Amino acid sequence: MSRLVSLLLNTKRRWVQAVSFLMMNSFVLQALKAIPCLGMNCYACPGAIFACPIGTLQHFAAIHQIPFYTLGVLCLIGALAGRLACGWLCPFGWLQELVYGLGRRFRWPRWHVSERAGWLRYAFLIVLVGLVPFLTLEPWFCKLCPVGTVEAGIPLLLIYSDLRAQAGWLFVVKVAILSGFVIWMMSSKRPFCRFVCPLGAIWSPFNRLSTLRLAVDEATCTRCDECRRVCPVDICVYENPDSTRCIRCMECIRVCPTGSIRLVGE
Amino acid sequence: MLTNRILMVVALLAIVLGVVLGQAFITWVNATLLCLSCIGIQ
Repeated sequence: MSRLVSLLLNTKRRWVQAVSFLMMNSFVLQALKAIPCLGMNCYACPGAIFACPIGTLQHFAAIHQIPFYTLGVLCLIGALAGRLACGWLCPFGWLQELVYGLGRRFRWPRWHVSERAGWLRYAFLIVLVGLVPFLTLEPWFCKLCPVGTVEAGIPLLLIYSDLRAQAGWLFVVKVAILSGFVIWMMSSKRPFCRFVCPLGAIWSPFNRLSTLRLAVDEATCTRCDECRRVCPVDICVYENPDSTRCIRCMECIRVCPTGSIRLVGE
Repeated sequence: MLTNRILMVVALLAIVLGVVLGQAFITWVNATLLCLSCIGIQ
């Protein structure tokens, strides 16, 4: 455990995120598309090598089968590490952090949304990923998903003119949704992760049950709020170290001046 | 934590069951075909 902690703390998370994005879209070994991706990466992306777990769940809902395989993989990862993949591997999470950084650089106004709205991601999971595909036999979250727009829709329509000719109102809606998220990303930290992501909704409850967890030594914590300042999802770590929003990025551990936050495991 | 261990065992069993039911193959087929919904055409 101490070796893992040391490895995570000594590795530049942004480099891991960049390498993860490149590997997930490296267009090799198409057989790997049987494996659910550990992050939001659209499988319609020309280079995608893994299967988007949310797209897969919708497909199984549409064919009226319980997705044992996909849920098993996601639950195993969740039980081991909670939302660690959100913080280290997810390409869309990486994009949100980059765009937020741009927003800070250009002094974009900040917009605070109440964390009480975090229940929305569970609503998106149950309704748009489960119920609606079950009833309509169509993957409605995919139809609206901004990840698909940026990774697949826009690149493919730019490359292939015959696909471009078929784009209609749905594509316009997708681009509008993506544009809205980009503006939101400049104002708020990881808004998609905090309020929309169904994959994050699946992994969120595992934060309190996973093998890897965060702990705060209240005796040494001075409540300086440095952890909250660096947190990509705006958590007050000393109040709630195993928050369902936590993406296990370890930035709080790095920055804590008293070393009060630590990663624990069993 | 016992809950954690149980979760992992259940997850592994679900994976095995899913593979036996052919769900890994279904996942591969679904992910390999071009998803027109994902790119905003259909």
